[in-house]
Amino acid sequence: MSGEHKFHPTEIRLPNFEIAWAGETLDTDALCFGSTDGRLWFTKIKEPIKGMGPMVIAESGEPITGVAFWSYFMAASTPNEIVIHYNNAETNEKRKTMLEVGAHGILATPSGRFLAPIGVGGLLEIKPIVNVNAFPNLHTVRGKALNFYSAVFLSGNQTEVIACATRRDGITVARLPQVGDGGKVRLIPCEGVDVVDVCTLGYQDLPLAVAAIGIDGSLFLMKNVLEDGGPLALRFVGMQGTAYRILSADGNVFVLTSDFLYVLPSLVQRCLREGNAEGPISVTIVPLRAVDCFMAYGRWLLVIMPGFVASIDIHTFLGGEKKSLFEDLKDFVLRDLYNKLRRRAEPTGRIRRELTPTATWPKPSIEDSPITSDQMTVSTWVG
Amino acid sequence: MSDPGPIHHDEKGEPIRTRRSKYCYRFYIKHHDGNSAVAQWLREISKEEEFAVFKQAVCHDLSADSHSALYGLHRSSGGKILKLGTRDEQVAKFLCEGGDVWHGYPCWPLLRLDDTGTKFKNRCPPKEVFRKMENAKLITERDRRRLEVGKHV
Repeated sequence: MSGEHKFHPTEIRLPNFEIAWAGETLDTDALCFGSTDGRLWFTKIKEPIKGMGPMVIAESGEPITGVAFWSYFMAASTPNEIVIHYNNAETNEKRKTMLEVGAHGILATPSGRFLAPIGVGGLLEIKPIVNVNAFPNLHTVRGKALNFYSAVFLSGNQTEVIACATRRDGITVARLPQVGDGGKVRLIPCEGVDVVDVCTLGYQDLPLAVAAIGIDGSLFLMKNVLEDGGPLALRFVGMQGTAYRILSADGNVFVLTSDFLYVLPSLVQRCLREGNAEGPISVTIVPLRAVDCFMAYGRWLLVIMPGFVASIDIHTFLGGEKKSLFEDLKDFVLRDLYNKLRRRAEPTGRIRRELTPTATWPKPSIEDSPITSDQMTVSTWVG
Repeated sequence: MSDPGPIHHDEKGEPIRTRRSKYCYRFYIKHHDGNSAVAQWLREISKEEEFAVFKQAVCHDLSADSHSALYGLHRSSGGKILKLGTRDEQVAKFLCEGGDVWHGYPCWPLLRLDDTGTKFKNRCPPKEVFRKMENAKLITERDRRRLEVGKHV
């Protein structure tokens, strides 16, 4: 069934709508897009042209950096503000709260928290309540100016676990109880590497497993962020470009750099489950000069290109043939780009690379600290 | 009143000025002294490099309008946009102290909780500055798109 493995990205263009962010909604057959001027657009996955939008969400006109949903609440972040919408169609109640603080993104947890990494300001928590102004809590570590750059929810019932990329301070794991104070934070240094993104590996039996990426392409894997002595650190010889994003689905790891999209299909299985980080590992390399990249529903890779979004079913990467990857790239979404990049791109889609063993990396000194949670006075505009 | 910092000068002690606008530049002590409460230039950025970022901002008029702050960035010889600040900032903001003296510091890309002002709080730089940088070919469209959302390039 070779046809099932063909690389068939869908090109998504929305009229007069420059896409800055793309991701999930509460409906698993829909996508949400955020624009570079503070608007949102919702579309069906299979019919990206049809949908609802555009609608202004951020009146500052700043680009959307993240959107998250919980129950009747929707939160959107920009570099200038966080906006929380409450929209209950059954009761026809609507409410909008705007917090004047910029965020690199926003996520929702199952307990109904919104969490936003706001850089050196900390990790901002907003627990919205119907008909009550949002009361943000700011989580920081006393005496440490951590730069919260990206965050991902891992798991939790009574206590929710969030992993954050905190640049030169490595990976920071926050444990936030649903009720009361007493949160804790675990600082996992990554040898001074500038860690710019972190993702969950999404295994049901390994809910606390993460992958993180350094700006130089160093890759860090952990089975359990609360118990491991330190991350497994890998460097790929020949990985090119400035690392932008790391994503994972179905045991595959995707790394977007300024020059390429790297697909590492067997990395997690081999390195974390089998404990074998030695020797070459298969890597699929796609030449892309993308702005950013997001994952939706663990299946759709949404690559933000200047001018459009390439929606790629990740199954097309698995078992794909060398030739079809490039041929399909040429035929479909990246015709112009392909021609520009052809001379410098790798000649095949599946390439062997050497992994540098982690033995040269000393075990880090992991620090567990109490988290400081302060209720913040943030200017809000309610409408 | 404590000394805010030295004016950039030549071997004879004469202020070094930008070519066309004749602006001079002060190395503000508080942005170089390691105090983490305010933005800090990286130690690796030399005074000449810091002044070069300012000169480039003046040369290309990298401001949102003619009376406001200027913004600049530092590119390596290979064209890579380098970090300027200890908090991973890649853009610097320059303010006129009055007269023809300016100073600058690495610019945080998000609106912060402790940013002052009420009605017109906005993060910096404004988006039109990034457009100017792109038009001047200092950054690519992709760089602009990433810097606008506060991401690294």
